[in-house]
Amino acid sequence: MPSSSPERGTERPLEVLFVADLSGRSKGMGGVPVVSGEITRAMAEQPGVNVSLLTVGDTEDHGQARILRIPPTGDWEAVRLRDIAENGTPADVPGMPDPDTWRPDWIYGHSRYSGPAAMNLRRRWYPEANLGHYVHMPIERYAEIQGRPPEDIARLVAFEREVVAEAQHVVGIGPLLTSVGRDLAAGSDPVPALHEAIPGHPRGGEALTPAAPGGRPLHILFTGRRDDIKGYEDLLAALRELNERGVDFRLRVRGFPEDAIAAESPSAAAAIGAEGMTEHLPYTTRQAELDADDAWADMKVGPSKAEGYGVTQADGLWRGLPTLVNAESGIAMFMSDPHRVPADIGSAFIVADLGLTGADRAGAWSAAIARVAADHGRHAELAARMREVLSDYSWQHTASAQLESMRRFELGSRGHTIQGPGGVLLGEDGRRLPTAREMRASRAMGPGALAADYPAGPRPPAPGTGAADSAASGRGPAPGQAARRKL
Amino acid sequence: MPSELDEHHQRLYSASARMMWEQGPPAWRGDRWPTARRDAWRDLEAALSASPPAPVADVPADPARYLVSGRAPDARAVPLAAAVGTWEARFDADPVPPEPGTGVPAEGAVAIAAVWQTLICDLLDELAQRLAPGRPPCVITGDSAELADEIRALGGALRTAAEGAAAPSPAAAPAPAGDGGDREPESPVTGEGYARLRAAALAAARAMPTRAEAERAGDFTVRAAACAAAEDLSRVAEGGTAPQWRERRAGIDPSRHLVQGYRWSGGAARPTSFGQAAAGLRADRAGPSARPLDPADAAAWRTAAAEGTSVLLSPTAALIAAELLAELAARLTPGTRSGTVPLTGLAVHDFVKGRFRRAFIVA
Repeated sequence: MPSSSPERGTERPLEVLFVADLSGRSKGMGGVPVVSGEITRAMAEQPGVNVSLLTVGDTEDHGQARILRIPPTGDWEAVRLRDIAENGTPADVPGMPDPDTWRPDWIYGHSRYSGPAAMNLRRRWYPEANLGHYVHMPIERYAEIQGRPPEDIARLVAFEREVVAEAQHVVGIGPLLTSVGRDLAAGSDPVPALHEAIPGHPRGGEALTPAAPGGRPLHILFTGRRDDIKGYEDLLAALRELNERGVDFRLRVRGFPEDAIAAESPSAAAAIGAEGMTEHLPYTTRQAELDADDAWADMKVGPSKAEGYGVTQADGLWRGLPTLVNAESGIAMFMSDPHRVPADIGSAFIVADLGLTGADRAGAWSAAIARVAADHGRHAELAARMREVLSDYSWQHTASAQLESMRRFELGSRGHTIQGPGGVLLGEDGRRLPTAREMRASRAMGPGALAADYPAGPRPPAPGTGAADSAASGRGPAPGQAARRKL
Repeated sequence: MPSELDEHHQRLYSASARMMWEQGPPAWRGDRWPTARRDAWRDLEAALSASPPAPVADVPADPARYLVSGRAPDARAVPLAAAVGTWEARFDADPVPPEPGTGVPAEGAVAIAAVWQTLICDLLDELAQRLAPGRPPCVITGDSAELADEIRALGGALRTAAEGAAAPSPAAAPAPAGDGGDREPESPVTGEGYARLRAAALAAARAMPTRAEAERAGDFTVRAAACAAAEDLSRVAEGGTAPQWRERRAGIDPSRHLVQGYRWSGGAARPTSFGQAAAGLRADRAGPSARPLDPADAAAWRTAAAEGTSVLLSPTAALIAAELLAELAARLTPGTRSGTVPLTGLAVHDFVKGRFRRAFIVA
């Protein structure tokens, strides 16, 4: 049985139930299932935690997580999940333990897809559990870009607002979505604790050290589809201008539907004003093809009009590719945080396109690509440093930082926590927050003990200095090194 | 017969409007430009609006200003800006674009093959290019009937699918208002009006850097093509020799060729004739078609969403696409005559490249 005792964490594993209609990369259904799968897997590897995943139908292996499958019907997974959460019992889920023998301490759902289901499961099955909620999308902003009417936007927002009003812990994927979470929570009483998570490395691959193009054209990689939010047409307009000014480049577009490619290539050539400068390749999940794209590229571009986080862009940076990101994105806000990313890196890769439209926006992207083309060597060096920074942000770090935030909550802390390098938690002023272990120790020693050690809180390590591991070691065993206490 | 003053005015109007078209909004409406240039361009915009080009003679409603494919309920001609306003109002009232898989109740949708998105966007770019402000008078003389039929067929398939997906709400489809373009009074160009436009044009053109200056400075707040158009405009305004209009590629004849798309062969760009465009469209349109989706039919939505082979439109968006395609088809009907396109043509461009583009939901 879960207990609210602050000491429980040291006595028996924390039971965490993730609720996701779809989870994992193999679902091919976009970013939310991917993040769900990675966080579930990484959380299950944390010491002192038992993880269960409640999902609909078959899914891929989730490491050490126990998978509880709701038998699918012909309906949408999200609809099926919601139906079980609103009308079902644990007996409807094969393998689900009886509530008398097992109960979760925490239940997490993901955005409007599974957040309402997590809320109803807590209400109906496990009322003593804490409710957590992941914010994955800038709901209002996307709806606004799509031109939805205000009442429609309000309806979409209301789905998540209701969940957040009951939640104890709201996890935003990156700074922008944490801010969306804060807006959703406005007016809730009590206000849930907010945690900013940074998504980890989305896939494998070695670091790249892109060479200067030298005498050949600059290779530019765009991954995505002809979706207005992704900014593909702005990119073509930007490249048209560069072509008119004599910049020699090749654009590779990865991810268009196969049947559209034959028509898209001449269309893009007409838009740019030259043939043979673009190459459209079909959507793929094959790692070898994605690796070959990265190896081909001198730089990557993500001209989206808005991105909740920007996993595709972060992926390019993780590989060591100079990658331009749009200003209205979680990754750009992350790179703008001087406590986590050195300022010269952010300013080189964030395109100043905030609020720009039409030819103005294309012009900002032309200018940014031209800057990389003019000094590729410097941008490759900055990208290598950014990769160093990101090496302190793995999925393991994502999970360990969130777990630390949950444990702090259980000790009564309601503050806003931010994932820093190596999974440490930072406060909004960038200073390292005491860990749950430090908080417990300080309580055992009496009031003021922690304050004596850290009058203004411990300082965070300087970003990009590789100091994160030593910082993390100050709080006890680093993730993955601790002796497993799992049952 | 147009007077010499009329001809000068038409040339100056075209060259001025083309400079603004090449730059594209919203540079002169924002605050990213030096104040002097921005103000000069705003003055030019006002001067162009105050002194529109003469409509084409002997045509009841000049296609450069009015919808060709339809009329208001009272049979009056519909100005392009009013038509755009109606389309925008319908989008604003469009209840719920498709939201598959979330358990959120959705209206029906129209699924189109991804290649149709490319076709529709390219064709509507052609419509916007044909309504580029400053574009000189044109008569469609090429063999365009087959292309117009193909475009109508594409629009017809969208309309059929939209009507199968959901009945459009009558309240969401206000009729556009006509303005009596049929009886449009002549507003002869005066020497004074011409002089005002000329002064504004020269000031705006001179406020631009030369193309070489912009490239040297790495100044991307101006388009290279707009700098070149400014140099043309200065020469036109000063009575020198310069074209009042340039197509995107040499050799394009708008009476016989597409103005947006062209093809390469042997390394050289070549115009696309109406006949070639019709053949290409017919080939691309073959295969999967537009089909309505029932919101309750998860299996159909899932198939549509699988690996992004389909693109979704709300029924309203599909109907608007069909209407825009019908408008292009009407303009490409053999014998269609239009006058110099006034600045108001920008409204169509802004709509097609802006609000309309957002209607495609890539599943």
